[in-house]
Amino acid sequence: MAGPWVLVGGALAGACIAGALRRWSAISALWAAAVSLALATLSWRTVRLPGFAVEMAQPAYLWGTSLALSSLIQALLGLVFTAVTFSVLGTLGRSPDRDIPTLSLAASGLWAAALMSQDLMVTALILAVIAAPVAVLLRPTKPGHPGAAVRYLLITALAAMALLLVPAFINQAPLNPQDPTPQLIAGALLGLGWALLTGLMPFHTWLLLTGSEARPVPASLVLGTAPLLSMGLGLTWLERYPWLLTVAPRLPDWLVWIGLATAAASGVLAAVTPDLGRLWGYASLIDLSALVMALGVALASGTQGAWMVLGGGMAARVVSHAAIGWALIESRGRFRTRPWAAGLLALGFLSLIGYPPALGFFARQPLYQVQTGPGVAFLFLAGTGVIVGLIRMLIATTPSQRLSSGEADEIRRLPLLTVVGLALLLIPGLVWRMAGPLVAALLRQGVRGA
Amino acid sequence: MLGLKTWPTELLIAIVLLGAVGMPLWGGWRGRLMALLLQYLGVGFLLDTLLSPEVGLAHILAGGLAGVVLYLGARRCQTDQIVTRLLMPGTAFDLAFRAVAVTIVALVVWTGHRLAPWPWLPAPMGLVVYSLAGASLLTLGLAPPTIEAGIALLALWNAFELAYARLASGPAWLGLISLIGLPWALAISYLAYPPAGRLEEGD
Repeated sequence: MAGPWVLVGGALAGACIAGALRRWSAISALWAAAVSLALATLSWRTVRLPGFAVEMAQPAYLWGTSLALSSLIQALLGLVFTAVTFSVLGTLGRSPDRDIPTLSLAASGLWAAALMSQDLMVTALILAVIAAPVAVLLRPTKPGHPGAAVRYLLITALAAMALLLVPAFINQAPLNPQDPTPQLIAGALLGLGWALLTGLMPFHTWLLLTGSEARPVPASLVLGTAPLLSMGLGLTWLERYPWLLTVAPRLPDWLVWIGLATAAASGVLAAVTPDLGRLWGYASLIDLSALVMALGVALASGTQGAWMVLGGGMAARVVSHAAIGWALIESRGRFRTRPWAAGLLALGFLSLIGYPPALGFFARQPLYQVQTGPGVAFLFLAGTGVIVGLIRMLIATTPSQRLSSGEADEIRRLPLLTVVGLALLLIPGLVWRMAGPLVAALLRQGVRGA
Repeated sequence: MLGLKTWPTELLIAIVLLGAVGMPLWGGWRGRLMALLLQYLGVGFLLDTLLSPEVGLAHILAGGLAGVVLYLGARRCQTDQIVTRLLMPGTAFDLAFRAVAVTIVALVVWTGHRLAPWPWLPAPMGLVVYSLAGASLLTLGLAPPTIEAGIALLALWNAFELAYARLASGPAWLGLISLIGLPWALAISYLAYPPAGRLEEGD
């Protein structure tokens, strides 16, 4: 059973070491070798195909709310966090772009409508319309091909096509357990649409280009919210079409495996990527991988746990992306002379990949407390790849020229900004930990009372 | 009502196929925009044949508006002068490369049409769907400037509309699907315009 994994580990090691020796530093090669060796060792010792023993160990994390209320909370969280993130970045980052608030709020409203919609065709059409303001938000800072925006338009168009075709197959015939072909095709189309919208590999290239091309504020907005809201859409479909889990009973296992594969690949690529924007994209993919794994784990005991996982992920993800975008604006690429910005950037990345003491670590508690075998270890390894890449980036930044008086003022302001950034990262996590059980108990009492 | 059903289907299919072949073959945004408008015209008439004149007319009107938006956007930014391209458009080598690529994609399209026909469409229209999808994906694969990528994206959506015509719940849905091209055309026109210098400083 472990043989194929050793082969995979060896192949990964060979490919990454070759890539690292050709263009990048020795530390990347060491990281690639380490992750491959760890993959092989872990699979040798603990991985038992075909899947993981998935069960929620802490039902206290679930809110005792109805599914409709959970959907509403999810949509409102998206709106609130998008608005708060914009306000913080727009005020402190002094964004001169007047189009960002209008477009981001329009996109948020449309996303909420898509989440609330009970008709798949309406959802698909709304998603197709959302693509336009999001693409405008992703406009690059320099002339040339707006690769991220055009790819996002294409990806959304393909997803809308897949989703529009689904009702034709669902309505073709009622579910027949002996021959569920129409439902299987519909499920495959739903899964394809979901993977396209969420940005899972191999449909992730727009995520990477977003970090490299787009302005930091809209990049952090889109990276922080769009993939996660797509995940919420996937959950609403699972609730609306319960036969999905009947025709694909191994779906939770598949999600765990997809998350693991994406995390491992992203970690290795993050360690050897030569671009800070792409590193941001890979860190985002690792966060997505953790959420996909968590969804798989939570789905084993129903969609309510999965909604809870997404709620926690939403807070951590949006705030982490906001911190990274903010640090990029403040540093303007000169991290050596602006250590506070570098520190905030590192903290944002730590939160995104789920390392303590940042918010992302707290948001992943439900995932860490379940029996996922080596899955969590894989995530930590993948996160280490991002850290290796980040250290290389920060070391490689060139020293700045003599600072102007305005820039010196900005540097004096940075400690204050960093304290606010730390609070943004840490306080929601602490509040979440302390108030979560209280809110859950209150909601349960309210539901029972009703 | 519009008398479009009197048009021979073969002529309509020939118009769309001309647009499909022309899209990757003609270099520059003007040629590709003309090819897109031909496609919209042909697909609109075919939708009239398949469903109703209203649907066909809505499709042609939406395509015309999207074409105007893309034309104005392209005129404003003159992408051909901004973006340098690997194959140097206009040269004999560029044309030969495109001709070979179109031939290969045509073979793939024909094979796909023979092996996997669309069960809910007449066979010639299935060929049109495959051709439009192949031509648009080939154009996107040639890594064109933004406006031309947008034109290819709208061509792909055109192919989907024709394939989806018999599956839609009603003509109103198809009308809405046709209108999706408008915000996309607006976004593409905006993206094609080079950003102002102030944005290069960050945010």
